[in-house]
Amino acid sequence: MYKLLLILKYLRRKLAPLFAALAVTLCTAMVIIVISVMGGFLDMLKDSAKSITGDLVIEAAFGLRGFPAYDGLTQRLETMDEVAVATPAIRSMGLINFANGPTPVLVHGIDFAGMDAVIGLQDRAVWGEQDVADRTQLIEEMGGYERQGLERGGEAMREALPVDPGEGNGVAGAWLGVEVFPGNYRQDDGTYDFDNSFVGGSFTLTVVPVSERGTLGSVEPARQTLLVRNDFKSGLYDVDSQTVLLPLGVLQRMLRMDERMGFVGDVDPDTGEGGELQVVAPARVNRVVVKVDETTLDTRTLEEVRDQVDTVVGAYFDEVGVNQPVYVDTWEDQHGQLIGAVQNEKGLITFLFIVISAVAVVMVATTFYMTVLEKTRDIGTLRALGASRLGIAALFLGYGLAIGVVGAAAGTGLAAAVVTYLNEIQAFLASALGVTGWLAVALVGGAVLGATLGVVIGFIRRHLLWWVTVLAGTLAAALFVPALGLVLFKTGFAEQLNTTFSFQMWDPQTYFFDTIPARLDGLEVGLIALGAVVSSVLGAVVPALVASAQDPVEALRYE
Amino acid sequence: MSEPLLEANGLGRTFREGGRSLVVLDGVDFTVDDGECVAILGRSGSGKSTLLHLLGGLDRPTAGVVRFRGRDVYAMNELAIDRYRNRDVGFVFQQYHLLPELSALENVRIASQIGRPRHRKRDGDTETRSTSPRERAEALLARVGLGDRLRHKPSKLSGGERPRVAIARGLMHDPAVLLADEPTGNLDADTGASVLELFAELHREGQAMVLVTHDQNVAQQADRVVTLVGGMLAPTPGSAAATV
Ligand SMILES: Nc1ncnc2c1ncn2[C@@H]1O[C@H](COP(=O)(O)OP(=O)(O)O)[C@@H](O)[C@H]1O
Ligand SMILES: [Mg+2]
Repeated sequence: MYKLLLILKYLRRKLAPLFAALAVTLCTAMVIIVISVMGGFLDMLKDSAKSITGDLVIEAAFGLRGFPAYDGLTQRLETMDEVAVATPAIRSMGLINFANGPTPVLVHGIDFAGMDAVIGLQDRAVWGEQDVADRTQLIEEMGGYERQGLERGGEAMREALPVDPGEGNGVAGAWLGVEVFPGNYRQDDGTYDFDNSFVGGSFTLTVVPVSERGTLGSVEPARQTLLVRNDFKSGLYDVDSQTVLLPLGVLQRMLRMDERMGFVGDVDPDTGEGGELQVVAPARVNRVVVKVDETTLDTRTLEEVRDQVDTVVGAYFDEVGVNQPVYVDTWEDQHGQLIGAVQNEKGLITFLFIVISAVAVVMVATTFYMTVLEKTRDIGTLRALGASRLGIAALFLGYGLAIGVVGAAAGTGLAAAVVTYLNEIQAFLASALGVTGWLAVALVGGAVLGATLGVVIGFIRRHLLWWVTVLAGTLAAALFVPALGLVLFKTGFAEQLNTTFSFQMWDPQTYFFDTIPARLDGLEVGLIALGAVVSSVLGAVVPALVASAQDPVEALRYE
Repeated sequence: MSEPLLEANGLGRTFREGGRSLVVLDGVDFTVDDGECVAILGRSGSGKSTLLHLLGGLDRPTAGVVRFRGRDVYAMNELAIDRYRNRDVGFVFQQYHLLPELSALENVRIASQIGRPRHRKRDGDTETRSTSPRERAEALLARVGLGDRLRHKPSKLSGGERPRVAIARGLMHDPAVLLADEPTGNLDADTGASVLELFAELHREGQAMVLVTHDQNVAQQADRVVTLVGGMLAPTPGSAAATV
């Protein structure tokens, strides 16, 4: 009972616990903010990394030779509980032609609907439907594609082309990675301008087919004109700067991986009759992209699912007599380097976390030790009045707990506010720091100057507090008012300030994300707050033991 | 009743300081009976505070025993000693030792908040059973003349008011014996006299007490005066009851 009373009194009356709580607050807030931003960053990277690989990829070991029977395979895979969607795809090298010459790209032939189901392709589209529709209509009104200012696109672009984004007779549609077309560039705010985009324009894609047996040379490179229907952004520069997506069927034909018919049997060489029209070579793809069922991943690792899928694929291929070797990768296997970096970051964060926690513990311990020393005689008094050792230890542990709880709560609140408004804070720092800083310097500078003067004059006149208060207030106002006047009435002054002094915490042009990625994870925040409370209690343990170990007389005699 | 309220037999206390030992108390025999007021005189450094601390269960003797109502105080376990301090003796320290964060009222009440409330009333307790600790603390402060200083922090109290709060606190749990260490030592003559008057009043009401002092006025009020010399107690010649 007396413990609670004293804890409340100690919390209210002394500066020391305020500092201890502030230390806990700042440490907690710092760790939560760092974890949230890094976590957000990692989440975004991971999400980006999955953009073209889904969760699992079944890939032909010998690249472009690919494997047949993929429709049956995807159907078989989709019967598995663990698999949500499986969609066939081809990945190949290619060249596209823009003004600056042929550019090497990675060409992905995909089933757009299937891929959308796996990785949410539509969500990664850079341009809205309305923009694309307007552009398409404009081009139709002009009778085809002919747009001023796109000379840089080369001959192929200036050709008038009928708009037929299907796979039919006209021009097949394609999506470009947003950084593929050189005209697209990130603006200061990290976004792209539709006016610069190449949507509605056409380009030529060249790929090199490989024969079924995996030989080059016997076939000519295939060229095809494609129409840009939209751009996509995964968030990984490597992907976005060199990926072209086009319909699977189109790429299959270009690569001669489509179904081949032929006459089998005895054909009369003179009449050309006889024999039977049959599939001589089945259609092939070189990868199947798989989205794993989300609930499955709650209980099992992706690696376990991968191995299971591997077994199913092997069994299916044995069944249908396909003997091309394939391997199954997780998205992490595919992006080994990135994941290595991610893992490294995690280690770094953990290390930082430990250092920060240690700092918090030491801070609290130090503050507490001082408090205990300062309270030694009171401890003696309490013991003399009958308080037990345990009671004294509990008093100071409770004090630590109270400081931890207050500090952790404040820290969590602070961190939540910062993380929630991180991008607003960044925008403010980048755009309004000048004026704010100017006014703050005027106000604080005036106050400090006044206070200093006040100390000197007040010391001489023996009326310290009065002089300090009056002079600080007066000088702060005297500087602040003209400063505000300059900002308000001198044209261009505010802008000049803001452009001269700006702090770019996050440059969207440098990073590939246009906003600072940050998310608050309830579990993480809870654990960190708990950690802060535990640290505070730990910091209080030694001082509490010291306090309770003293004999009453010793404590009473303490000076 | 033949058994003394508080009794010390052959009490010794030796301090070890830097490898040398300092014998402060050397075989002290001492008794206080119910309702008795004993004054301990002695020069500064003679060991008066040390003796009082030993009587109050705040220290540990290096020799001898302290008995409260026949029980050996230092043979009890620690919790029992805590309880002894909490219930049976009241302390008024030389420096008063009020808790600076608490108001006068809270300082007095805290004695009742430490430890479990008393379940059995003792003889001679004039307070009624229904009195709450808060009411009792207020009554005690009114009693020592501080009825209008309940909310004052120790720092806002005058030099004469602080010992009164300390006395009120010492009386809060209605101790069998009140131990006061030079309660007038830091006070000017007038304030000292009024504090003394308070002790005299308490004594008249039957409160047993031990007053450590070097003030002859205090000594005169006591039923018995003893002097601490060379680590031993001697009855003071010329005092009211000069027998130990
Ligand atoms: N904890 C201690 N360690 C060493 N010496 C002590 C300690 N406490 C008291 N003393 C010594 O014991 C002697 C008596 O002290 P004290 O009882 O306070 O005297 P008094 O109250 O009579 O003035 C003093 O000389 C003092 O220095
Ligand atoms: Mg003394």
